[in-house]
Amino acid sequence: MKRAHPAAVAHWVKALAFALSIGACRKAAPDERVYQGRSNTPGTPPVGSGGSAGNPGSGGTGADPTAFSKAALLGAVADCAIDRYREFRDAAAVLDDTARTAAASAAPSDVASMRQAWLVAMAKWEQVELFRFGPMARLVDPGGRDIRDRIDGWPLVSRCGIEERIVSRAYDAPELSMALINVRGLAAFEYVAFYEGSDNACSNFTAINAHGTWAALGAAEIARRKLEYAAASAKDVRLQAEALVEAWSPTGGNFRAELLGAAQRPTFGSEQKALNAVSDALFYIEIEGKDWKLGRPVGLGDCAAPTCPDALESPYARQSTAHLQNNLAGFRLVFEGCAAGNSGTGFDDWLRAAGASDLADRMLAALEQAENAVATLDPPIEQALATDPAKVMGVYTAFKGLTDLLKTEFVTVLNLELPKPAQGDND
Amino acid sequence: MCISMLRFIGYGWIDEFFVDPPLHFKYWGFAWVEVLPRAEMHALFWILAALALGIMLGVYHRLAAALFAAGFSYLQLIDVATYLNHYYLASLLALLLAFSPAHRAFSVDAFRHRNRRAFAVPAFWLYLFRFQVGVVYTFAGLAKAQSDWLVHAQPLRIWLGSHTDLPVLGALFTLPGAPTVMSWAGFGFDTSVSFWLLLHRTRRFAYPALLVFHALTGVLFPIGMFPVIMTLAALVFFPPAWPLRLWARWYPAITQQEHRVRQGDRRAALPRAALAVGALYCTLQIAVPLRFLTYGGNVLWHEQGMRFSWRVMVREKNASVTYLVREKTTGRVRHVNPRSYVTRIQEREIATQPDLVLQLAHHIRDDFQRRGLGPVEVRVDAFVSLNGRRLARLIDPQVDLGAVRDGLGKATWILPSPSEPPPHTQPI
Repeated sequence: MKRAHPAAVAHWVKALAFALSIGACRKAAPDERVYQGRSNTPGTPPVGSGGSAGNPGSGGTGADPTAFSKAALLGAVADCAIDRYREFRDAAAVLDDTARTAAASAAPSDVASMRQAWLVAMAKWEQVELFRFGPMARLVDPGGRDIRDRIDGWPLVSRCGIEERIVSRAYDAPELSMALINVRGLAAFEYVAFYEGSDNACSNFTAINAHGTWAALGAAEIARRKLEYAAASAKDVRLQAEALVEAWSPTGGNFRAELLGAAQRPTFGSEQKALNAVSDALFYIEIEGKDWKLGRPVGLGDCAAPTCPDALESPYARQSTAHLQNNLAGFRLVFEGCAAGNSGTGFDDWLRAAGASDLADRMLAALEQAENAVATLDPPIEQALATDPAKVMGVYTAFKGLTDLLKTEFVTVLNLELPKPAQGDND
Repeated sequence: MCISMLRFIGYGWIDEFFVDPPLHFKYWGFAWVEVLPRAEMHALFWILAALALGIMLGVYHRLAAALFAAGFSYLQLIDVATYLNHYYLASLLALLLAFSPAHRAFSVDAFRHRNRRAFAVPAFWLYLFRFQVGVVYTFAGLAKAQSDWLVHAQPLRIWLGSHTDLPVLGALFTLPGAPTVMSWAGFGFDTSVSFWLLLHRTRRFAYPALLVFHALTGVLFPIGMFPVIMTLAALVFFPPAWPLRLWARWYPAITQQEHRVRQGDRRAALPRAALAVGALYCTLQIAVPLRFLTYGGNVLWHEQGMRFSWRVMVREKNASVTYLVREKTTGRVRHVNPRSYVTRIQEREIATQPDLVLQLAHHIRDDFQRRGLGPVEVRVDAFVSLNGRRLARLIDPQVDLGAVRDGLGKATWILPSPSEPPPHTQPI
């Protein structure tokens, strides 16, 4: 065999080194800031939302598909998320204030204000649930800090656990901030704030029943301690909400920079992975939405009875239908855009730019179908389960139509991955 | 393979893929293969890493190779959902190494038994390894000989869209004809590279092209050790004396031994029985990848004949699967999400493979029976998008999968693939 010419070998080595070097590099993220969102001042009306890429502050204009870029989408989603987090933080602050007042006075009007504040906070929160990436996400996810579960641990709520803490008064700070998620957060708040009964959900063998410590409190003391628990929960939620906003703030965790600079930063490593994390949040509509909030209550899951009203998300405040509406609203913000009228850059723009306009339209149509199904759920789901379960089933079917597209064509066309804990090898 | 085993240990994949899943999917005929307890599984991976190192160094080579082949094949048989083409290749190469005289030179074994060292082995072994590696490339190329890949440039259009942020290359991926050019280049490379590597005149160009190809695929796709395995395996196409020539640069005395290699050793002939076994092996290596022809239809859709056929990175497929379980006595229907039984990683793998959807259906049927909710009928809502097409039903929703028996015959409960072509999406 003849020896290879040294010059030829050197040439190919250089070519290989070049190929490997460009494979190790990613281009720099642009400096453009697409959507400014609201300012940090409470009560300030929203700034005009950036419609098209590279045009911050222009309100109300639809995104031009030909101007789409992944960086623009990341920027739009980041700013939309920050805006939603701030709105929730502000609502959590009001909840904290009203809960403290109600706990101090126990006046019916103050309790009513507290409950109203919870309704407002939950309306914001249920939209925020669709922005579960970065610090909101689990610890195992890129940039995750488990903040979501500390704000709202549903469906992992233990009424008996809460009642045990009511007896032991293990809700004073800092106990609650270190407690498991099933006895704290917005779901725990709902129970103590809205359920006026003096019974408990623990078994007869649980200490509070076996030793009679629950019964010994009496109805009035139970009600008073519930208000104290509500105040402690609200304070805890407020702190977590502030931590979430701080995690994204330029002077705090600056996660916005992590997201927008995904290609250069270690958290994600590429724009695609960052967009994957954002798209993972959309799957809330599948598991939490379709399967848990609808499938379980309507009896499609593990439920001995024909329906399982106990599995509803909001059994005490009876807001399950409103929660579903806000979940879909949050989905639309991420998918279609966060600007006025849902213009602005969203995943639908990515689909259109990639030549999948038909899929974008069908997903929007499926989303509208789900929204209409929830909107026409009259009476609300809590009653409909008993009087018209077929209607609830219709909502479930509408959700499934959307999630089927999400799990199949959407992730395929955009080469996204279904949410999973780790990435293995493939071939 | 030593590095591969260490990756499993380091990334926590032993627990994630083998120990933690509550359910494993079995190969037909191998349902008896069970996963070991956690400690033993971890120990097995360490042992396999050591055996791989032993093979590389040529320490008790045949024993190490045989044990590695057995142990690694056991890992593959635990769960179908973990099947990868390059793991299959590793098992085959280990098996061949176990029988081959690869330890006769440049090994610890050869050093220990200098009097028995030989620089000549039957050429049969060289041809066999070349055949094995060539089969992988050739069938990987033939798998791309279909309209989705060559005419519509899918799924490359989809995959390249994930890498448009690469400097220089990223912008090239967005050019209108780039996916088509790359599809044809990939097809041409895979189908012909073995031929070019065989020829002396073209080998000097073919191997650097191979290096570039595998470097790029390693950067673009999450295919783990596959590029490394193929890059090293392709060295068998070089003349067998190349290590000697390299060694001779530092130890000129070796050239005398190289001369002996060139002369060949007529005493290293192979018995006829061994040749017959080798011929049978080669026949199987061709027949198994071609078995998909007996099923008809689109193998990328129905997946019958998909495994063990070297269909490497030829499709992008995602599914949404919901099991509809109907209690026969009450008529009540429950919707069961696969994640009630499997991990998310398993769900992604099984949802697109009808035989695994069937296995899970059987498990659900048995589980309902165990819980006193049986007997049940198990049907499935299975929607799949193949290479970006509109989602379509994969499995007949009227068929009670609980009553269907798994086997090697054509599955009539799998619906035909969609007839429309995939969309021409554009990397942006």
